[in-house]
Amino acid sequence: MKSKNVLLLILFLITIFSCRKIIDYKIPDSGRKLVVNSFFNSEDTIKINLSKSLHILDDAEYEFINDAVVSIYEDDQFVENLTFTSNGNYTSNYFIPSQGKNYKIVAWNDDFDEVSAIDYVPNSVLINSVDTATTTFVSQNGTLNNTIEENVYEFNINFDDPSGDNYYMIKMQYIYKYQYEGETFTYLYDIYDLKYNDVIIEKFLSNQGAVIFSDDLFEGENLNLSLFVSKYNFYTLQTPVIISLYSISEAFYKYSISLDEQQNVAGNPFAEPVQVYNNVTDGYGIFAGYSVEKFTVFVDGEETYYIE
Amino acid sequence: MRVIFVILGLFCLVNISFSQKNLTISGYVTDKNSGEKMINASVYDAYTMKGTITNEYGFYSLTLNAEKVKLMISYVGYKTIEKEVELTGNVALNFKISSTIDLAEVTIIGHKNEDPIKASQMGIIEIPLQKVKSLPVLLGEKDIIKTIQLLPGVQSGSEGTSGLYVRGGGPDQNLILLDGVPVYNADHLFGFFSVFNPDAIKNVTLIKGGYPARYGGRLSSVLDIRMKDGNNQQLSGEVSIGLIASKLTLEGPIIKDKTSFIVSARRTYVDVLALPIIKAAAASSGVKTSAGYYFYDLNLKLNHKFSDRSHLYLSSYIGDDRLYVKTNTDYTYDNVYFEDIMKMKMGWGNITSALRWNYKINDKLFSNSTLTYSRYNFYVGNEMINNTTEGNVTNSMETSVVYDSGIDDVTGKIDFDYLPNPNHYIRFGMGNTYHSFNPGITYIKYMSDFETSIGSDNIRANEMYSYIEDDININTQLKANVGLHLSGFYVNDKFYKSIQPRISSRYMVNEDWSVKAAFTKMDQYVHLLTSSKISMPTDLWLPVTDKISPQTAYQYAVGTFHNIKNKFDFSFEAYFKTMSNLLEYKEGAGLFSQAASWEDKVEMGKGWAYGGEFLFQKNEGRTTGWIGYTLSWSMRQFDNLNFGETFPYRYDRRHDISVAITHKINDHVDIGVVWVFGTGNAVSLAVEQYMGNQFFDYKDPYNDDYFYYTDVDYYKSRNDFRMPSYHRLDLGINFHKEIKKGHRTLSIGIYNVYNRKNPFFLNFENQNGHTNLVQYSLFPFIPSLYYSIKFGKKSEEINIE
Repeated sequence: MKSKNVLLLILFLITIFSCRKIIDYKIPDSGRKLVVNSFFNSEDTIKINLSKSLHILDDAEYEFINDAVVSIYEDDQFVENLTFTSNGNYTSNYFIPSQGKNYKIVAWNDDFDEVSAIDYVPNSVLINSVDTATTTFVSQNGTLNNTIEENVYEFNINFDDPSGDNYYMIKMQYIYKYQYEGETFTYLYDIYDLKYNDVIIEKFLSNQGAVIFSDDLFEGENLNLSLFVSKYNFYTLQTPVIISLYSISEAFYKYSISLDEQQNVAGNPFAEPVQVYNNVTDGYGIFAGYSVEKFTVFVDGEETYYIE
Repeated sequence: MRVIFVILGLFCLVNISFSQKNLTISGYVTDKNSGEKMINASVYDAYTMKGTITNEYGFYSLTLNAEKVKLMISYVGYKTIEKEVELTGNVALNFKISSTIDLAEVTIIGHKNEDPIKASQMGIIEIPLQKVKSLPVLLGEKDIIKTIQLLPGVQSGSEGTSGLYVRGGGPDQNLILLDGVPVYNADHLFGFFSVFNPDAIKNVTLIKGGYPARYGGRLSSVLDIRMKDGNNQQLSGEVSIGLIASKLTLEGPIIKDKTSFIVSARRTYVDVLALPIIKAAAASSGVKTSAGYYFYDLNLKLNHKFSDRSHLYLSSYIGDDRLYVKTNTDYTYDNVYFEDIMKMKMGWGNITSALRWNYKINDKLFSNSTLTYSRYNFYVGNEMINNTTEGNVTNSMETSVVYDSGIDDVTGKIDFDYLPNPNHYIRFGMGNTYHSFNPGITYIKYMSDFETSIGSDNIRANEMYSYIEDDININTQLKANVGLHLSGFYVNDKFYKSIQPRISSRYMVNEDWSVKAAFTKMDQYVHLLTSSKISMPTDLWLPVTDKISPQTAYQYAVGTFHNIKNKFDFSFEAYFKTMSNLLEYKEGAGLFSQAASWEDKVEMGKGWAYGGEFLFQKNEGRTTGWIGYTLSWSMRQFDNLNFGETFPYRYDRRHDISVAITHKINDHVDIGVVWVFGTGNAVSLAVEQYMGNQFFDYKDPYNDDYFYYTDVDYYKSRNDFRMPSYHRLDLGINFHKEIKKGHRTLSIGIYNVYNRKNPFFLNFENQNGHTNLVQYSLFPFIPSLYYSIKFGKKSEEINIE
């Protein structure tokens, strides 16, 4: 809020004083590149999406690449060529990646030279326990109008960090069931307003409602991490809440953070733009592995009655 | 303290051994008309051809082995005094020099006191205050820092702002001293104006390299600004009215020749003028609104002379920027009257104070003890009042939130000037600063039943230093300024220390040509966290901690200085500077984040800068001024920024030209011309865009192939593009006229004469389905008017030589 006010004021001043001019500025064009997008895990076939980049001043729609040859390698051993399905998507037929192994993807077509990317599927990490408690939380997110105390549920998540560099992402969802004309409907909702005050958390990814962090501050140790969720997220007694602990690769971590940051500063001319992490050689995009372990707890929500 | 006595004792011994046959002449040089102490006036003996200059307090001391001397006291723009003195013992001589025109400010064009060719120091420029007053400037608001920006080696950052980027360094690396007190934020109105009111300023010196050992604590420059002491002869003053602000300065004796004062105040009045417009505009939308912005400055100084030996000074600066918005909305619903009042206020400002005692211990040893206080504070507050009136009962709900951040310094220091003989000018001293940093606290109050504060505790730290330097005449060709600056910083049980050697030397090739070389090391224990590309009052000063190390810079410089026919000065300086432990926010962090865990949000890296600076100056005659050209490079490297690759600093500017010339047409009219050219600022621009992958751990049962994509902009490297180049011409004309008991000046100026649309920022924008790169510019052709009246100076004394 504080900075925002100042910024708004500056923008206001600028709109008063400034003048706007479209300039003919030559942005170099070194041709298009192949874009690879894939998040893969050890529970599903591998899927990748191929598309084509655009020059920054190009107003066209993105084009999918539907005629590429895409090969997958496991620990440098050729496994198979992926099968094209639709809209730039390619999938393995039966092959499912394994935890702890390295995978390499190679893709090319008549227009593009070979691009490649390498990543691994991290070992999944079990959640030992999740303790819940009700408490109050004073938010510190820098917004002045929003710094009042809130009644929240505290979810204390306990897990053991394996040795080595590890990266994590935690996401929470809840299940909402209701009956209508004798039929039960079940919905899975993402919880988007996770709150935290633990310094180990690197960032809250606002697009995904997930917190992301590395094990720099608790290497190889047992960790208790508290996340807080406003009570008003839950409407029913004994609401099932699913806590997902993602073990993510370094590439996944760097990509998610930089992508979120690029989006955060987009459109602000006074902020330094953020470069998004890229692990595709000779192309753009992300090819990153992850594993996930889920844990369900039940909390009593505030029962809310809607008045028609 | 014991150390000081030991050093003093040693100097007394040296003194005795030196002075067996030598005799010392010492005293003060002052302006005859105002009693102001003259800084850097030359005192020279024509027989022995030895000389010295006055210090910051007008004091000189010259020890010679002679029976008879012919002293010449000179200062550019002043009549030179010649005086023959028979020496029989040590003698105290005070000189009062008068300007060649008593209306000194009108015609002192240039300052050539200690000859820049002969001085041992390099990278040092005294800013002619007359230039500050006669050169055209944005909106007619005379500004010291904007004149400094016209010197080679100094860059201005964004359009119209008063930031200083010296030799590739950042805006936090300038030690800005007002009467010896550091000023933490020298900006008004987001940097479009600086806090220094030129009417209250006597002397401004900028040091870009070859820093003398007496200065320390910042990497890239020292800007030493000295306030006027106040006229101790007669009451005088100046009133001026400009487009954005008005000023009033009054100075005069309280006890003639003993005690004098100066008071100078400035306030803007845009808010007063705009208020009716804002009210009218808001009224049409049904909301009662008042809003405004203003800034003010107040400079105060008192000085008292107990005797020739002992002077006391008290100086103070207070300045603030204030922004306020108040809205009032009311409506009636269902016979209930609702009223919502919102008050927002924001402000920032500095307070500096110095209490100084000059004491001449003996003819050769001069001491200066100082106590200073400096404070910078930023706050923003919101107050909401919701009133509900039903019948006669009113319910009121009040919430207020205030955010506050800043820094407080208290310093004690003692400095000595020791002049054993004309071949040595020794300075030594020590000081300690107690810092208190407030990284930001939010106070919340809800009615009377809820009150809390959130934020980090103040960080307290002690910064200490001591120094010794000697300006040595080794022989007639070779002169050197050699010094050592020791400093330490104690914070959170951690002690940082540093030893900083400083060497600057000059070799006279012939009477009109010298070459110089310098090496300096500088350390800096405070960091400025800047969250944006432009200077903001929210930028936070924070100390080094156990995780964040001090910034260090090494600078190497060489130069050549020529005097051409006693009319022109030409200099060329080349420098190479390395900087380490520079701070930048992590990518994307900072803008809206709290300072609580700031150490985790910053990256440390290094930088280097190198370049050459040409300065061609003409200081005497009707046409005076300078042409400066800088060719420079400034690079940065951070392990976690730009994927570890080296990138250009935001203000890496390859070419920078400035022309600043004034011409006196006659006694009543002079004109000023400024032209600047600079390579465009470095900017990061996306070159491509592509589909990015938004992670969703979700399987669509109906369409397994769904791919959640988002736009990604591809930036090849940070700051790899340049905005279009910057250039601008400003013209000004000053009309002077004598009026009864005074003098008036009318200045008409035009900023950006040929209406160049200089880039402020670039942005990709999509309009009618077509993407373009759009440039925003700030200041077009802007005329300005400035009117001032000086009074209290006797007009009949005018005689032009």
